[in-house]
Amino acid sequence: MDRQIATWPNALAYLRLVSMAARTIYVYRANIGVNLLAMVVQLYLLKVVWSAVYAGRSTIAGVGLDELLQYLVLSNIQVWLLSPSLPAFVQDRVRTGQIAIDLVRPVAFRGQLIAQQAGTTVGMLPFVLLALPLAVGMGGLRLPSSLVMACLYAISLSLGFLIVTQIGLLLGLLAFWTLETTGFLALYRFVVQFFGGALVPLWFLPPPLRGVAELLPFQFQAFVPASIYLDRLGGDELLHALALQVLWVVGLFVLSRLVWQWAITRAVINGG
Amino acid sequence: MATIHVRHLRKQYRTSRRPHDVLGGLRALLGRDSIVVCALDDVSFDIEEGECVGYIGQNGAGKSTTIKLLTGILVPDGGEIEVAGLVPWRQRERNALNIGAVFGQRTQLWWDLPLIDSFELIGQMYRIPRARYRRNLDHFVDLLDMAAFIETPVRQLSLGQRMRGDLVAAMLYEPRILYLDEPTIGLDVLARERIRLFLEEINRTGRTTIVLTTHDLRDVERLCRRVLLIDHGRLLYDGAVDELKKVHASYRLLTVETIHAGIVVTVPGAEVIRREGAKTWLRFCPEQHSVAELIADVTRRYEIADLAVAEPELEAVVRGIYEGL
Repeated sequence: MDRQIATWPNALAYLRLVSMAARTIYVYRANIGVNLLAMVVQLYLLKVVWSAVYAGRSTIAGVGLDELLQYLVLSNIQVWLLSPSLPAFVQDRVRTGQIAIDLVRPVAFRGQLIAQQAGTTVGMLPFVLLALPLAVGMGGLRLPSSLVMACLYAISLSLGFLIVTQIGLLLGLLAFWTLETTGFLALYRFVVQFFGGALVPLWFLPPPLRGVAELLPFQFQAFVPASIYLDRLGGDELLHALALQVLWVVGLFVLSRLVWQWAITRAVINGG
Repeated sequence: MATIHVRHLRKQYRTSRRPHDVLGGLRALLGRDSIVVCALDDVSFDIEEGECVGYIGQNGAGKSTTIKLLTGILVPDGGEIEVAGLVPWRQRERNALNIGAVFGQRTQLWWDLPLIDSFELIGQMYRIPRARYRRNLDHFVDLLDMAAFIETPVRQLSLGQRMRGDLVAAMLYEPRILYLDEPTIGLDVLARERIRLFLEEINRTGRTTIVLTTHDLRDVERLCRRVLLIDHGRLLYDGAVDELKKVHASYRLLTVETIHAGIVVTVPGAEVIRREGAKTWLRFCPEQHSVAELIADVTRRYEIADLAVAEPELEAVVRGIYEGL
């Protein structure tokens, strides 16, 4: 068969990978359901705690309870929706040597993985819609203030998705050296919850901690998009945040490329 | 140049040596002693278009390492490889378009989804024109009798069904070269036969070059005229299957069954290797004793129910070589 030399990315193949990963999520719907339940419970506990903290006060650091609860609903859903599936996926394939299969495909490995993460996230979207009434019932959630803000929120969240994907990919690639990434993943989950601003919004962190959070990319999974949604970031601040996100995407993309090239030249493909 | 061109290929692995005492784990954390294991050492061969070559050797001999180097998923430590004009590890994704690979111990099929989804994905990954995809799929599904389970999720397939699925996945885009790493491992007699028939068919009609790695030497005997024998990373033999038998097992097997049980058959010039009931198995060297003489001698001295002369099986020949190593 004549081969056309692929000079452009194979968009159809990537799309199909996305759809297959999304349908795989549905096979594991019970697991996703339990996961979702955990998120809703966390949200409920956060509501109870923060309501107690606010007792008798209308605002803390200029933020009202109402707005805080909306923030928590948004950021927790975001963290849940964008939770990286790649560390476990890549680790499993490296450990078992199944990665051999991915590498004899005519499609770039990192591209396959990004499609995999995209499919997972797309597959989880319907579950979010399921949980949304519950979450909104707990915290209330108004619509974005304008269509422009809604679009900016969507852009910020998409950039956040790309950042999470690259971080997940890097965590997964660690398996080439350590074979096991669950420790790193646990660390990541904690760091996202705290420095990403899903437990405590970054507004409330004391300056040194806030400074650290702003140096890290985890704020883009929770805090930054949620702030945009709630009109808490405006004007120059907003543009600055989006530009920073783009920089992080590019930087992590380059880094994951370097790490991948390093990994593959020293790769040991396990198993006979 | 040959379709597959390999010269002085070398591959080493670094593995860690960790003392098996209480402090071993601790010391391993601080830095480890590594030892270098040579998986392939100065291996050279050429495979021409349309050949079907058996690549055999014991566990750990370097077979899978060779396949991994040929598919481009490992980087060699020395030597040259070219597959259809490409250097696999440098041009891995382009090389992937030319090759199909079946790893008997793994599957390239999407575990949680119906079999047909994996085929559709492959259709798009390899940019197979739609009409051609349909035609190939119909042909293979028919040939391997897969219509009944093409809508079944892969995780529910039997091993034989899954392996048929993997073969089709590797052949849908008509690759120039097909690497088979243990394609019949764990399969029952019928499933194995079906896969052999399929491979015979694609090798005959499609001019597909096949490299077959297997422990089941009946596969090799059936499908390959040429065999590469590798041991401890070195190529021990490269040539025709017939020639290997002639050189390493110049004997023939003679089976004699007498009409009455309990008769002790002995044949001058032949060595008895086994007796059971009325049957006796012997081996002899045809260069020293002609088959005709032996048969004449046996039929004169015993009342014969059945008699057969056979070449040794490749399996026995190769076992002999391993034992002599």
